[in-house]
Amino acid sequence: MKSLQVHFAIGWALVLVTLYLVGYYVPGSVEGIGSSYLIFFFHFPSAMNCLNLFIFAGVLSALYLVSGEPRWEQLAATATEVGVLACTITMVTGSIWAKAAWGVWWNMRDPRLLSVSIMWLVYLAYMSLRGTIEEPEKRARFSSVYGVIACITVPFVYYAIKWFGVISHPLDIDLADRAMVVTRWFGAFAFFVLYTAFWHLRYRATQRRYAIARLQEGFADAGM
Amino acid sequence: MIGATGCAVVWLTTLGQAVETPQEFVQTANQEPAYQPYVFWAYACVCTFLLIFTLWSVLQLRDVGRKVDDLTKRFDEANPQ
Repeated sequence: MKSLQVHFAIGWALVLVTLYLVGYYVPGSVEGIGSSYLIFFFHFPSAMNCLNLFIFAGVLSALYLVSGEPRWEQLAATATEVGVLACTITMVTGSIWAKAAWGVWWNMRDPRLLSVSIMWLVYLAYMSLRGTIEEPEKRARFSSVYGVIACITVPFVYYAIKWFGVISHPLDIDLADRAMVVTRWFGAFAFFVLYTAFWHLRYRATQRRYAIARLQEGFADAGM
Repeated sequence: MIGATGCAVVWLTTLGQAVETPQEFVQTANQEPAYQPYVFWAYACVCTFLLIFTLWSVLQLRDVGRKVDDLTKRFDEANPQ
């Protein structure tokens, strides 16, 4: 429990430092999109970590299918939960930024926006699927197969702009200033620590839920 | 009394800024659309999401922890060996 508290404290402290860097270190506005570019310093870290978490989930699901060790499947499921949170934050911040920069909340014709929407729905369906199967082994097997297949959406999102061209969302944002580059990568690291703390927390809760199921089985076996 | 003092401070600051701010800066600032509300709402949304997720997860962890302790105690009482 102590390690979890320390993990969370470091994660939140790093996010607060990122907020400080955004408020006092980076330039207040850039040419063209003005101060709306400041949204990037929370949008990019969530987007990057969301893709990382979905890749981790895919690799852990594959590990479960190879080894049959339930721990890998539980880690994959909790990584997906946190990945969905990161993806939701990415979409919300992206949508607000889109309204400021392009004048619209969302553009379904844009390859990056469309592919992210599909990925988000695919992983929501993963969570729904996992929630509907009662038998633990069957649930683990089904969700692991789904997790490996769902992982295909990650390169699809990453390369969408290269494959289908720029419509609204740019391939990358040009950060001319050193302070902007430092804040970008510091933010990515800060959110990585915070999201892994969430992962750690969710995994602990899942382990306890499995412990409850084992104890209930024990009660049933003892005829109580 | 406090409200009146607050209003006075805000008015004095605003007047002070109007006097002190160079004219070319005012013109440049006025050309940019008002992006600040968007930045504020984006950051507020992120912090709210993270805070809600933290509280929800911590409460859930505490609940399942209590349930594990309760069941373990009951199981140990029922099987003293």
